[in-house]
Amino acid sequence: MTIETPVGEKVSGGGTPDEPVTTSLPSYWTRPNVLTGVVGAVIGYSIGHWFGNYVAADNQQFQGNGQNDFALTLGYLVATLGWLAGLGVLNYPIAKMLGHRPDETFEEDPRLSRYFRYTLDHKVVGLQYLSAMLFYFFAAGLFALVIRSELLSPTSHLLAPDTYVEVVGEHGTLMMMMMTSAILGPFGNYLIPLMIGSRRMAFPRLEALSFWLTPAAFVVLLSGLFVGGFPTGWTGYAPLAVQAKEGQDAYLVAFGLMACSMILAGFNIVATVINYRAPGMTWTRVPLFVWGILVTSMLMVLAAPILVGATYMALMDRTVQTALFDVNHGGSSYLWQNLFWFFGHPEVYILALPGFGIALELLPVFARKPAFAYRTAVAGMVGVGVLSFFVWQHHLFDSGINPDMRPVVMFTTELISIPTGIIYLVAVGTLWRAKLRMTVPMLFIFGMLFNFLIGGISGVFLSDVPADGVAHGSFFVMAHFHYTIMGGYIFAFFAGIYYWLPKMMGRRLNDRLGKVHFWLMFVAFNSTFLPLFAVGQLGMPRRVFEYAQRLQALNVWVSISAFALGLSMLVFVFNFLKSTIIDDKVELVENPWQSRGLEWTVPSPPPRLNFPSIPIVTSGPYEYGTGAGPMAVLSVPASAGAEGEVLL
Amino acid sequence: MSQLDDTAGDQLVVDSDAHERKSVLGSYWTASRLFVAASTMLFGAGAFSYFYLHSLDNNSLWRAPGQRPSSFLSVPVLLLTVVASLVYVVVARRAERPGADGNDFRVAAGVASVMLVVAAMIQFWGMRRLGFFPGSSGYASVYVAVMPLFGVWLLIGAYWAEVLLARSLRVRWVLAPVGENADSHEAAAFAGSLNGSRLFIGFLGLLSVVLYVMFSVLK
Repeated sequence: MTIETPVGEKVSGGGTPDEPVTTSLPSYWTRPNVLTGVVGAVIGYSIGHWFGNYVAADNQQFQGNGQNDFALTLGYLVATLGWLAGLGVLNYPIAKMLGHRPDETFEEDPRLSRYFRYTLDHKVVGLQYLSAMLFYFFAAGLFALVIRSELLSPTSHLLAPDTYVEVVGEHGTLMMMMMTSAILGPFGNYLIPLMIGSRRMAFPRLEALSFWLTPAAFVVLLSGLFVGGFPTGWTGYAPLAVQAKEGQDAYLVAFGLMACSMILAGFNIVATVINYRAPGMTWTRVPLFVWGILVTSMLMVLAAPILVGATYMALMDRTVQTALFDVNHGGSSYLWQNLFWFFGHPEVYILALPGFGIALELLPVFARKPAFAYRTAVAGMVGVGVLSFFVWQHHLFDSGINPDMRPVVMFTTELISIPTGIIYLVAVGTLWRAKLRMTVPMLFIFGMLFNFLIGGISGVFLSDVPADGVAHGSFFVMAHFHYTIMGGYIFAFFAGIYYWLPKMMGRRLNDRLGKVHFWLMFVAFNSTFLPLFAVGQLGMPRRVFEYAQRLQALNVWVSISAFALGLSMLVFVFNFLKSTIIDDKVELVENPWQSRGLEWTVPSPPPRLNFPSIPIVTSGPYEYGTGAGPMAVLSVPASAGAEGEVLL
Repeated sequence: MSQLDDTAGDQLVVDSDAHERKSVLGSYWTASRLFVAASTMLFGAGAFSYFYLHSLDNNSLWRAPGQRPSSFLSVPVLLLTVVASLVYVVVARRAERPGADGNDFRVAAGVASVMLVVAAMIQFWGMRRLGFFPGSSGYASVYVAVMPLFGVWLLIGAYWAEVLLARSLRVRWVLAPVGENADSHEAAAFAGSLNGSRLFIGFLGLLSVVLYVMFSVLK
């Protein structure tokens, strides 16, 4: 943790970075922090649960299913409110109601404790996101290892059948719910202002709030295990979701909270990219990573509200006995499927597009030549984003879609492979006649391109109705989406970590360990998931803990490979801790990749306000080998003193 | 880029204040439109549910005969919301013009805020006096799910109007800034928020009409 800045420096009003106004900071313990948040959450839960019981006592509609889901749900929601109140999130909106403009200047706090507070510094939020996302990812990965341990044998079991399904549900939901922000959260929040030449985010409070909702969602989701778990997997299908034990409430509340987090993050990022670009940062000079995050954010803003609506409706079914998803009372379980997948399929691209963005951003740096077909790549990303809203019904091919609709949806699904393919070809085109540098981030990008090719082609195969009819619900589908999401998105996530960590912390991860991590992860990943295509074609269904004896050899192979994949994560963790915390001898680096990106024109880690003055962008970010000058020059302030003022 | 004022020799000069003001104003503009878009998608999920279940009519239980919320509750909610949004939109538009009388806005914001709160309270109170069980039909289920959410959105609109009212009372010049004040971050933030609130509260008025038609007019 090496962000070094003058202690106690604070800028407010007309102060400048060179004029320290405050020399001492209030104690961590006297300000809202994580501990006060936890206290708020405990108090909130108690109040919510008590009130839920109180209300339910006199109301028939809260008692219909014999378990008090209303009290538990209200407990979760008020606990979240208490958590946010304890963190100090509500101070600002309350002060605004009284007409005040709270005195929350852009304060510099060099202490480690700033990572455990609600903060307005986008760089701190970015690192908070990075730590949290890694933690969630490893937690979800542990559930995966439990699943693979269970599947070592077709007949002897570690887990009871219902426990197995709950573990599968926790793994899937953690990965698909929490990891939506794995790239957008850390890299989007940390880097976007730096990459577009801004000194701040448009709405730093929304940004911070979007982060602090994620721990609440994580804890609520895990708590579901203690109240019966949820048997529906990550898709939460009705009517099972309506009939399930109280653990389903945890799933619904947690997913709803994460959807809110996505929407808030989307608001902030879209507003920032559109409005805070530096002079000269025209749309054709915007880095491809920023384009990827921008399109992703738009998808979040438009798709996640549907998820909020769906989870809310399911909670209404469970708490006040509406019958939206109950066919016996005028509802329909297909309604859930439509609502869920109207969010769920754009979500696949919410996961994929940031990965594409990282690949397209890094390739020119390590190919030392301009990005191939920049505008086409942008069009491809926008095309994927738009088309992603028209394909959701392919998830209903086997569950009751009107047969006449199948060809239409098959067509739109296959159509989306065109812009996706364009992005892929642009990436490959950048490699043409390039002088490649096979650094660790580049290795991960190559791994991503290889994996995504398999995932993408198997996706086109599955979009075909007859093929989907055979493979639906099997491990084939499971292998397909792990190739696209883990093989694409998570490999790009690690590429981003290796590439941008020197910018974020001033330290470069050890190359040798990085290469060990990559090769172990790449081989183990393919060894884990490639055989699952065969397992699926041989008839092994998903979410079932017993399987045919003849499939044991393949399953044992897959399980051993999965443990090797887990081992590769330990290599990464060791490298991360060694390079950033343990080893004092790691050299501080400024621009280890000789990148032209605007974010690399400032010191690593960046100073408080990112740029000493507003930069003026004079050329594109990918002009390698063209003789172009620096991407930007620093402007001269029009008025003295103005540069220190950043009001939030 | 208008904030790029001058080039003097090799040095480029940027009016960072102008850059910041333009960015703040634009951010509110963008975010308020995104908020309305997200709200549309959220209530769109409700509308989709309404028409989807209506068209399926599973077990002939889309709607029991005569099942309808009381007009004594739904009409006042509609009227309060529509009048509040009309008043607010018209007066906020006038307040955005240079030299506008701030008192008009303060009165309108206060009235609109109170009306939206009253509408929300009637809506919540009405949920206790439905006359039908939430799960008695598809219609009843959609109504019970969507309308409390609408009440929450009314409160958000009321909050937004109240925040602007409170600020305009505490900082009197903010509605008609002149001189240095006109170039301040404060003025830009207020103007952006005013514009955004106008759009959002106007959206609430439109939404109340759509919901009334869905639940009280359509058969």
